[in-house]
Amino acid sequence: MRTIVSKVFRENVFMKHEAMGTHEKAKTVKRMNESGCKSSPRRLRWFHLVMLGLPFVGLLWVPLYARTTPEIFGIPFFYTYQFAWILISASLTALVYRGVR
Amino acid sequence: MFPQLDAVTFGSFLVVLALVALSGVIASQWHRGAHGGLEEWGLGGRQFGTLVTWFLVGGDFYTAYTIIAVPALVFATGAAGFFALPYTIIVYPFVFLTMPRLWSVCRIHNLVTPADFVRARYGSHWLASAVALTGILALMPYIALQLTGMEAVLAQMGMTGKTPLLQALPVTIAFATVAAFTFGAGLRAPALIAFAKDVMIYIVVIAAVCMLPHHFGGYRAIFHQAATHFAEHGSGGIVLRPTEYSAYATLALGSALAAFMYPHTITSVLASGGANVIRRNAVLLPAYTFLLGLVALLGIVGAAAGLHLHSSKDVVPALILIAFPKWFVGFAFAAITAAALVPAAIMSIAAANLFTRNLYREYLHPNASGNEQANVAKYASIAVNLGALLFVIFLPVSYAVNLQLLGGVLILQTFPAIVFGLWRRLFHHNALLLGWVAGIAYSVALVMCLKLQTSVYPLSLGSHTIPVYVGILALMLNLLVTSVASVAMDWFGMPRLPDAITDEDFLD
Repeated sequence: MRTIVSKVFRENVFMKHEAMGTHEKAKTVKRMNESGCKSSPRRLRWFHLVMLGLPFVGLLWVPLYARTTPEIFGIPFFYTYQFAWILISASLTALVYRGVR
Repeated sequence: MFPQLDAVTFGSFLVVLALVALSGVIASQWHRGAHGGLEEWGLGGRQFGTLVTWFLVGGDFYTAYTIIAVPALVFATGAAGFFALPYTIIVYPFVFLTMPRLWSVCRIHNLVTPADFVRARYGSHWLASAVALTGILALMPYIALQLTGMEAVLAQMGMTGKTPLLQALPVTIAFATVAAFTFGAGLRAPALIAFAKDVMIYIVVIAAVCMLPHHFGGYRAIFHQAATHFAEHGSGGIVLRPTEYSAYATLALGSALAAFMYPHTITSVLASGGANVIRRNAVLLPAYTFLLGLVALLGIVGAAAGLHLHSSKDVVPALILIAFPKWFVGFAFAAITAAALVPAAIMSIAAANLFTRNLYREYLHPNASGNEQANVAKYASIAVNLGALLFVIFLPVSYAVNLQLLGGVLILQTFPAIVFGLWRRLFHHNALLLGWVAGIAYSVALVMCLKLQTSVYPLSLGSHTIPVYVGILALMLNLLVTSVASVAMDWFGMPRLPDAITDEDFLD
């Protein structure tokens, strides 16, 4: 248990192990180029950009949701709709992250 | 000295705040880097993992001022004030796209500030100085607002003096605390205080959201009463009217694009230990947006309760005083004070980094060593805090509010220089400078025209009047001038300066 905690802690609080010197970094980059790996493995595809753009459309197109009904638990639609987008937007970003990781 | 002070409230306030401060001091010694220098002091050694970054960016972005000002705006204007929610949702897809690239290039070239990046990418020290100066100018009133946030809480508890000297005492104590934290431990101190601060804020907000609706008869009754309240006052409403749509959308978009152009938010992004840390945080940070939405709803609750307030800014402290026992009021006020302390510290570090890297090192002492830069930055952070303190003591609070509003518009004018450079050097550096000048001049003119009271300008197009956020208008002019000038400058063969950055630098 203690080792798990300390592992999680190490990875999420400080990340000394990931910190790479400039010199080592340059070497890694060079190595990747030499092996023919020109394009970044984390390249965003067009549908990733669409997914990241959806929250902008859903929230900046105000007439879509500026109304009272349907009410949910007594809260007007205007508010519940925007609260729902917090979850939708975070999920879309999570999916894109999985796609490019 | 302060006769109205309640012993229980003030006692628990002091105890909680002392514990937070103590934890910060102890924690700041921990995992201390060996090499020192400005990256250690000003970026905490660029090693924060997902959790610390989450707390740091959260503590930095959702400030005490936000907790006070967003519900105040909702209380005063109804649904129109709710734009903070779409703003803090769409900001994260934008962060996901841009900030890992910025982190990556800054890590490889040891860059500390956004102006450093502009300097490396475009080679122009004028453009970099423009970005740095905009950043410092935008930060000063923002820091002042955090100090007034602390002052407001202390005043609510009855710590208000009769003489000018006693009036200045609370804010001076607040200043001394921030200055002491930042001077010694740099970014590490606010990063670790942010832990305690955010946990406390979550407790207060969740308690408020659970207790208050019950207190006022549930959300259905609250929205009903709030609708009546707004109808009686003839301003605002619980749902937007069609005339408010354009202002709502442009305010949300403009604020989202400006948010991560602020030097303090970029500082907390650059302090993370990896590009994936930032990507993960773009997924996890919306949890704070949920919290902010709940806080914004307190404005509706205040309207439903029909509170009669001096200033709409008192809505959250007033609700806290109504709903909670004395000891918890002290805890809640300590949480709000800590929520001002953390961003104020990060902002003064960010301003100090800008001064050191982009003005001191650029023009006064180009060969300054890492340790010398760290020392200069430490004293610069004191000077920045002192400036904010004088601002608060000698100018009315409304100035800080208005200038912060202008600051948001101004910082948006650095968007073309910072963001476009993350992909290609599309624009000529002098064109970006020209666009910046046009954008700044236009924003100042428009905001002055609105007498610094609002940032929404009624734009006339033919017979229609469309209210639009000033920042978006100025950014459009900025981009237009930049594009036209860039094409013209390349056409006339004006040379571009060397680019220190290659495509591989963005790889991480």
